[in-house]
Amino acid sequence: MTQTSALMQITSFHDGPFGGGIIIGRDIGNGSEELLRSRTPMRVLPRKPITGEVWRVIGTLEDHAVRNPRTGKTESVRHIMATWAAPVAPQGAAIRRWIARHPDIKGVGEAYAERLWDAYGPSLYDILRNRDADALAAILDIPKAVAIIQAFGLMIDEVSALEDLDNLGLDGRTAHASLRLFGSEAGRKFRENPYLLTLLDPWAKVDSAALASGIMPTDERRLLAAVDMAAARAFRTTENNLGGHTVIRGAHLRRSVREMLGKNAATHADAAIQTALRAGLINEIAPKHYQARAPGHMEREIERCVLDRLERSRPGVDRVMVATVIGEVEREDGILLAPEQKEAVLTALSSGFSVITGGAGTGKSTLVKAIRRAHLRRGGGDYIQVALSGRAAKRLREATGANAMTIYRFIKDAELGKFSMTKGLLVVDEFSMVGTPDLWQLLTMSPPDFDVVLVGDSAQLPPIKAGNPASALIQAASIPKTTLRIAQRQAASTGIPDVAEAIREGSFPDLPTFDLAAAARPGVYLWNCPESDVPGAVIQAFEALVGVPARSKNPGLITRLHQMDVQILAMTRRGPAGAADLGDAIEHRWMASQEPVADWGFSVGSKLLWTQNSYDRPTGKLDSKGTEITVDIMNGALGVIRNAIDKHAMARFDDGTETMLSRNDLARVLRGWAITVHKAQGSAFKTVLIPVVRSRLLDRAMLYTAVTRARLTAVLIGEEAVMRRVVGAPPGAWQRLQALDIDRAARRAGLAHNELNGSVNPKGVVHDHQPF
Amino acid sequence: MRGVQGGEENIRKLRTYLDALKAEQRALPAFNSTPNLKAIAEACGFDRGVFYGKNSLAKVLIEEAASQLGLDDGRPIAETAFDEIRIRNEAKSQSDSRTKALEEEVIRLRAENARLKIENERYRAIRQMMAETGRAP
Repeated sequence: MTQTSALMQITSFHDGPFGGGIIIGRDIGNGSEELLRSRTPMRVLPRKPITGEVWRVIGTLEDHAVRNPRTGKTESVRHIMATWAAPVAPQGAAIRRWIARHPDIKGVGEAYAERLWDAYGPSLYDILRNRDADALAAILDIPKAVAIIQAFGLMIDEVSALEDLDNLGLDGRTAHASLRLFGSEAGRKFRENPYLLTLLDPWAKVDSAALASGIMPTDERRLLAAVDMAAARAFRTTENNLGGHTVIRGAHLRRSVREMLGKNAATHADAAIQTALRAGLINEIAPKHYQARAPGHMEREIERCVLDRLERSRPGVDRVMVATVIGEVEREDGILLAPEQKEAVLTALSSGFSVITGGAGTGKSTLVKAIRRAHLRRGGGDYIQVALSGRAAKRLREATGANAMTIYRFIKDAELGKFSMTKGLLVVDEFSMVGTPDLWQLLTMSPPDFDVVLVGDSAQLPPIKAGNPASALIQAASIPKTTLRIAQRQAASTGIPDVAEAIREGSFPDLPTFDLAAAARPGVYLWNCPESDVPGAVIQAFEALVGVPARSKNPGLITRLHQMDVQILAMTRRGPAGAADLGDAIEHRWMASQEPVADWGFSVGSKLLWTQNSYDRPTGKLDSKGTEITVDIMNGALGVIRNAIDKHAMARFDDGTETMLSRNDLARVLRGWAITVHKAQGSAFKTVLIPVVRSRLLDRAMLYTAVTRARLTAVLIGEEAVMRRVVGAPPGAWQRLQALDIDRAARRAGLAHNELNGSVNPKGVVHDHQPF
Repeated sequence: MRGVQGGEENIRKLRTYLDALKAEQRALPAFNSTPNLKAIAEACGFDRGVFYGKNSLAKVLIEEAASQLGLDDGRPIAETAFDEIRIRNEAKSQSDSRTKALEEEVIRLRAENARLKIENERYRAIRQMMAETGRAP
């Protein structure tokens, strides 16, 4: 392998499946202008290269087989396997192309760039470096000249800052993240305090480098960083459902700080905490309970956004109009809204901020439909509805017949200024899934004159991200709320509503035994078996429901299999009864005789789980103008491979959208036969099989969420004693510490809401449901 | 006021305005040889969007008035060839200084936009860092 260093002028960049990607450009270092390719891993790439830029790439030369799209033949092409890559300032004739192709230099193409080059030649570089707009204005109009000078100046600033960070030994990815956070000051800041790098790199790496450079173990910068990191560790939610605290207990904080400081400075943990308190890095929010700046800021901002909305004066609601709208929705959906549901529509329209909660199947979606229509009918302004996951957003769209987006999409659109800043209404569905960081972003980025209605079921699983804001908001006496009680999704005859209600209240009901001979009967059943038998029992139950695997290619049978809509909902991804192993087992048995897709490990008929929010996916179909039609596939979407074409496959997802899959997409999919209960939130299936095994994740909320995903039949498979015990115990989310408290914030702001005499925790910290 | 009632009120205001022009024998305000809808809407006291609706009666009334009353784009009338050249030169000089002012404004806004983009990107990075790690830089 030969080491090489190439100067490339970028012609294109192609994203790789795991970050990084292939850089293609002309070799301008040796003047050959030959096309070069560089395989550039994510850790090396400071950012995506832009066409026209000049990059220095260092690495080893290797030959790789590449398919030539023109000839269709596979050719051996030389690649640089990059170990280092960064933009550099273009010089000589490369400046011409840089100017002509830069996306921020509008109206200057090859012809103008050529004229500049003809006029100034190589001295163009000095003109740009000296920001001499007048020289350019002799050839171009002034706005174009200034645009070139500005773009060049920004590029030079970036190049110098990256050089500086490279001298500090930062890899490309960390250098880019540093520039985003600190701008061109990054290098200076890291020299002043090397522990700032713990924002981007692991503690052990930063700490060992800092100690090696001569920083003392008891240096204040080290002590402060350890406290900040310890609070951040408590904030992070782990795979086994620990953490997620926005507040940390003193003992926990001290233990964690001691661990990080190591034996040379462990005795300084208390001093570190005191120093952090003085520096304002943490705040003692209640006796021996601390909160770091970031979660504190998020919670105070959520409180402010809620109170601002509650304080706002509101126009009256036309009850006759609301009654008319409710009547229309009732006729359309063929259901009658209960008095509490009708009241919820009025509450949503008459409050700047309100909450609607209710168990699974209490008709929340119908209610949202009525709220939307009444809001628009009264001329209340824009209407936006969002949900955390793509699947939940799609369900909301189907239920209400109106567009719905993910919270992630909403935040992106808000950043781009896509929402008018007039009055309107924002409805957040499945809000129990929304963690503190997402709710903070959602509320602070919503137009201030938008009213907010949160809709969800607090008995479901807690958010994957930190905090449990749903619990705090439901408890707040200052927030108008409606609790719905009448189950509608599952017909009462299935028994699902009653079982769900019992689990919700903490008592595990006596369930009928699952019968393999009558597997598809509606209801909730128990297959009581030892934990070691659970995986086998799940496969047997699956077979009893969908039939034995086909022995030959049989598209008809596969279609029927999917129409049965049997979904396995596992507690975890890993382990013998985890989604991964069960998915593999189903795939290997039921897909064994079906047509394989290349060497992917999937077949025509395989069930997929999409794991990213992907926008503008190819469909392989053209519109009337000959442009390829694209679709969005959301994280959590379930799909089926319909057919295999060459090295591609067409997949159809549960909402009917189809997309063409390539080998790169394998990084975005998992097997869909078995998914985790977390992924299933916001979805419903005809039948669910629920393997129950001991796990840190297993709690009442997990079982409740799993059972309520079933429309017709739910089968719990595992040890009954384990199920009884976990349902009887408080759910894991109750252990999360947080300080979000709307009533306390209202009191501090001196606001006199009528309901403010409610349950405000005198200690200040809400330790959900349980006093500490 | 909304809906049909609001629409009728706007038409009434427009008719009053056009009748007054007719009585004073004045032409319709114009810009670039077409009726200046913005100026007319302001004079009537409604939003110029009134002219852009489907089957807008307001627009029909304006077209009729333009053909009856003529258009007035505020330009002085030249009686001699010298006047004509002088008026043209003055207009060009005005237009040049307007262009120059606009160019300067574009440059200022571009610089401001570039700075705001960088600042916005920085805030976005900080917000993401806080949301993902619970730490504030």
